[in-house]
Amino acid sequence: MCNSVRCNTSFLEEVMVENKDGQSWSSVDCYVHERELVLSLCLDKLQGSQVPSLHRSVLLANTMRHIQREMTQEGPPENLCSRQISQSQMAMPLRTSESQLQPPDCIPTLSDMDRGGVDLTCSRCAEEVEIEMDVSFFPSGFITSSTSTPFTDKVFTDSLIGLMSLPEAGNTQGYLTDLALDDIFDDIDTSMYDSSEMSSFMTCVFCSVSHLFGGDEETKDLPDCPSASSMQCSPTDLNDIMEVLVGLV
Amino acid sequence: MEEEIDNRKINNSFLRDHNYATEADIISTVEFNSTGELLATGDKGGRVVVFQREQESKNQPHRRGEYNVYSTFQSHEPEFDYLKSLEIEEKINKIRWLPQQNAAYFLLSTNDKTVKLWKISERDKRPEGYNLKDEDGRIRDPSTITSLRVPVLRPMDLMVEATPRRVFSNGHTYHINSISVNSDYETYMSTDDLRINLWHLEITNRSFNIVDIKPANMEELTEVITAAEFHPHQCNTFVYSSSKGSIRLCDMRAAALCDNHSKFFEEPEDPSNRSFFSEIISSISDVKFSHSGRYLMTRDYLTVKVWDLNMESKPLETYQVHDYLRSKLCSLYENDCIFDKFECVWNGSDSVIMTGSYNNFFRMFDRNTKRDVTLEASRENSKPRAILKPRKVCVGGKRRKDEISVDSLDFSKKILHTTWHPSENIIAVAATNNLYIFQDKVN
Repeated sequence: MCNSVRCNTSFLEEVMVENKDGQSWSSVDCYVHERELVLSLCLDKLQGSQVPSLHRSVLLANTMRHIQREMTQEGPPENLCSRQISQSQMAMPLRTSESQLQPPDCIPTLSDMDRGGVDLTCSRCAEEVEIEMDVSFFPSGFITSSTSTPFTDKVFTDSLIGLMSLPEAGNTQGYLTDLALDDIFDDIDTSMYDSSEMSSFMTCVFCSVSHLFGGDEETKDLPDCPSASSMQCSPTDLNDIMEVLVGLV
Repeated sequence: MEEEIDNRKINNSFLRDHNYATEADIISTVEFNSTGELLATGDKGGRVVVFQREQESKNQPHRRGEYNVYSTFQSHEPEFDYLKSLEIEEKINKIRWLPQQNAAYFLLSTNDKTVKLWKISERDKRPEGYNLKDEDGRIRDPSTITSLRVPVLRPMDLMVEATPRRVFSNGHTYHINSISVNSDYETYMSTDDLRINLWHLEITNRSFNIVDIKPANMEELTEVITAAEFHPHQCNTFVYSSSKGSIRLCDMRAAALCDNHSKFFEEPEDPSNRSFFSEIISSISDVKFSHSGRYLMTRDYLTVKVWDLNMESKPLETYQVHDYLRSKLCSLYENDCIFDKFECVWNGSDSVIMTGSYNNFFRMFDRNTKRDVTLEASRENSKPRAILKPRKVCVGGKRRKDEISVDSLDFSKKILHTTWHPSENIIAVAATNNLYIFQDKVN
């Protein structure tokens, strides 16, 4: 949908300083910045699409995969983690509970995919850090979790409520509106997190993209998540995350 | 301008004929029939409007066969898939005419899920003088009938009726993007994102799947089918294009399931133009055989390419439609314009190709002279019977008087659908909810 009548130069184009040929960036930062912008737009578009189109989703997912490949090849630059996290557009990882989250059969999957549970758990990451993916990446799909988590009583409703508001998901609106959002985050125990867990954050973003079209099988064999070893974040960054998370709600 | 000469220059002097404003809805497809006598348009509301060309009369020689509304009917209605909780749009994605075999006209129209065969026929006589019912239709009491009469056909006002003759449903899980009638005039194919089905025009409860690119594991899906078309003369040959910028030519004689292509057309990517959006802009939005059947034309976001069927490694010709957008791809990605699907079309002699752009511009390329022209379809800029003025987009630096700068382009006004008369220089251009028909000027 073309929202803007005029093609305004994006803020990025104002920030960029281009060489004469117009194609190369004068600084790596600009390139990385644009890459992050494209990535976050990808996520927004995949999440917020009113009319799911398989063609469009495939192109977006391929773009995301390409960016992921590039980023993992480069290796994690310093401060990449905090920069990533500071983008409020990036979805935050939270837990979901299978027991509380039975996918209604009437929730549509993308482009009439076969019905089935979509396992969004990045199993490798889940084993290490028990962080699950934000279901809000997906235009219409539902999550089930086969791993038990410490937060079994908590539901990530923010994105789910966003999901519920999709036109197709009309009669499931009542499912989650009873929950008071504040209650959800009351007893989140941040001591569960240590710095090494944040490194899997980025990988989980991309692992879950592969579930975008899923639904045929109950369990998924995930593509290998990149090693969750190198990104280290300080506890203060963690507090930033939680603040942003609560702020989102 | 001579119309018989194939190597004529592009004529800039297209006149504007009529502007038919279809108030409610956005036009989603336009198509001339095989003689050019009829022009069909489909819109977002599921309606089909058919225009017919006036017979040229000696009394008014300057009215060179204008197009008037011939028939309007509701082809598709919105549906709701209860199983999947999805609304099925009534928008007409494609219309294709069948060749005319009798007095009636037949066309195929499709939305996302269902293809329908419509018969458009004229009725200009009606029978009068029945024995068992009177003129109002009331049944007469048989005991009151004293004599018999033979009903006679009397003329009436011309009535054009459209009736659905076949409904081809439940053939597709994904959204249909193309239909193409085979040159055998017995079969046609319908294409969705992952599969192509072959139907017989007489049989609605069965279709054959001839291409299936759905992976066993949907996570591995990286490519979808974007368009497909039968060869104009060889009934066993068809092509389909993909979102990765490749075209596959298949021969139905080789196997029942044509997953293995006979020819694979793809141009290697230019590394100097690589960007985050390279894959998105390489996705082919339309593929058309030339009338001769020797060439293929494909449209991706920034270019139109002509391929020789005998050369798979690279296109024969590449035409830049709006290369000034290359530096704006990030913004176009942001506002979703980068996903717009433009169509392309050949003229009757395959010497000129045409495609749409933004700001209600459309472009024509003469393959012989290599000249191109940009024209605009808008009410403000052209009066009826005036000659269209070529437009120019200024790319940078000093803007001349009549030029438009890239930043002033209106990206909500896009020309996605165009069609060219099969033998004459008449084109129909859909600009959102307006239809423009342009004719070559009369000397």
